[in-house]
Amino acid sequence: MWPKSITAFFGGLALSVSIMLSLYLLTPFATDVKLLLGLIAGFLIWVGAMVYYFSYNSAKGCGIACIKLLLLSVAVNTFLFLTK
Amino acid sequence: MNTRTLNAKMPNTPPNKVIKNLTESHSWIGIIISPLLFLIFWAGAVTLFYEEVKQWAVAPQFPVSMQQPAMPLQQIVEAKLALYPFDYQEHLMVQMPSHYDPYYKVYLDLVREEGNEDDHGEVASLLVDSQSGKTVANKEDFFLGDFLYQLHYNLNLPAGTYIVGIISLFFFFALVSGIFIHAKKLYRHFFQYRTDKNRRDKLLDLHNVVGVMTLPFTLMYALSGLVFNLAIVYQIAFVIFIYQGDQDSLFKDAGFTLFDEQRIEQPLDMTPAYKIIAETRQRDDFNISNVIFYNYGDEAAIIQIRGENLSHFSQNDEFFYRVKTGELLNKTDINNYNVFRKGREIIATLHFGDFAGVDVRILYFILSIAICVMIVAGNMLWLDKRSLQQNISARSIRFVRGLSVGGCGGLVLATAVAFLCERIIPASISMRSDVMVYAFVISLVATMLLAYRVDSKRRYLAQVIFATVAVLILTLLADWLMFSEQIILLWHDGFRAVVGVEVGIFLFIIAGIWAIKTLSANNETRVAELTAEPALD
Repeated sequence: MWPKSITAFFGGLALSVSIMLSLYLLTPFATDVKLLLGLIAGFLIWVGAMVYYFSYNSAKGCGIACIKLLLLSVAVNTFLFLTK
Repeated sequence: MNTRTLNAKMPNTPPNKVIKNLTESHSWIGIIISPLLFLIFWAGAVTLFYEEVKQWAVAPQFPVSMQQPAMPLQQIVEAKLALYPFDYQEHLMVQMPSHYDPYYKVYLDLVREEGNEDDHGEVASLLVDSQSGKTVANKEDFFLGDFLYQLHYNLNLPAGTYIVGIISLFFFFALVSGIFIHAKKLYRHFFQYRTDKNRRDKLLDLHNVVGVMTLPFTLMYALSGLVFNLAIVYQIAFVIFIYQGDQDSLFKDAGFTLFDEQRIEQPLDMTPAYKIIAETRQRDDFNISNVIFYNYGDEAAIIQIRGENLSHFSQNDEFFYRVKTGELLNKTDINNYNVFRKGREIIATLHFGDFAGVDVRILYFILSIAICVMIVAGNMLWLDKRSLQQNISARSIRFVRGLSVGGCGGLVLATAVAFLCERIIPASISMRSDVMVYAFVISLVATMLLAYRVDSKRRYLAQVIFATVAVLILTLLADWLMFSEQIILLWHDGFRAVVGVEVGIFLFIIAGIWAIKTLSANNETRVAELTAEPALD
């Protein structure tokens, strides 16, 4: 359970930071609204990702799912930063 | 939640494994975080009455004569400045008296010693009689309320804020996974509590019923706990990726006004500042909580007035004035606010339950205690299940059992001991807050250690509750033997929180006696069952 927990914790954190940054860049709201939205959404995504990762049978499956989602999200972010 | 749908999205996971995996992780995470989670909820439940506990601790020791004419604030502040080596490069803060608290709290940053100019210097925190202007004590001398509050949000440990944040995160996970696990029965078994079934069913129903009924409350607590304690994670991300390292810009966008004007070393009479404060205090719809002076006594002096707007829900107003000209430099009110800051304040208001009367906080208290019970019931479920499994070592079961009984019971006893210490240690003893903290820690550790040495956990729990009840009775007796006149005087002056806390302690004593009786009755039933079994055989 420890490898799965560590993957879920850090994988969820990385994914939430990445999606939160995408949200900040994509949403058309005022800065203060985006900051609040980012903060709340960040934690919700983190916990949601942890639930998703923990639902896998093994730490390996959990890790693969984590990397896939993270790569996708980082790719979106890279695109957004480059086209900003 | 439809588990089939969830499984269909995950081809690698065999059917129905999602719920099994989540159940395993729910109980595993739950058992790891349970001691600290109990501590956080227990300390948080008591902290809901922070102001009342503070008044109970301090006011009988130093009763304020409300009939006496009040000394002007300027005279009080300048008298303190004359007494202490205040560092005029730093700010000076005054917390205002309230209907809970008849004292000014004056915070003075003292001049740093030579060679330590870069360190944060010593701060004098003075508790000042609002009528006579006399310094009655150092604020830290009456530490009980702050100690429990700090225990709640940072465990009184250096990196405690982040530990509490991580516990909140895993608590949030336990809630969401609990919803998934219990989803099918969420409505059908909403109020199900089977008293006629075996112990495991009863515990499971207790865990589920409390979990479901407190769900909106617990979700709010988990999220707000994260916002207060772990926002640093996203703050760092924002500063690095969005603000290119400029933290001040982030703070500005988040609505936190920063004034960093330097002194110009031209003296200024501060009377206009006190006029502004006096005018603001006369507003019916505004309750000043504190005033901060920047560049005191200098032409560059600025005052910051903060308080609660009583006409609106969770509206904390803030005004900055230049003292020399009386110009309003910046304001935050209902018509002019930052969404991030306002959102954070609403979250804080919901977290502390201070948006209505004491009745809401009593409701919050009951819910918090129910969650403490849910945590203990969860641990007992884990122990019952693991006791039947061959691959779990007896040592780990004994460890968790001792931690559950000794840790949770010990915390309740230690809190009672801290209350007694706060009451009976004379105010003149300079280390009184340290003595109170040591007494808390010693009683907690002793209860935990003894829990591993006693075989009958049920009997031990009854003994811990008995000790708690005895300590609380002593506290009430000490209250009335030492301060009966002052308590009556405070009641007449409208400071009723002292009696309110005593009523709370009394109710706790009643609840404790009931718990001891229930545990003893269960013990007798079990003994009768055990002695009857051979006869039946």
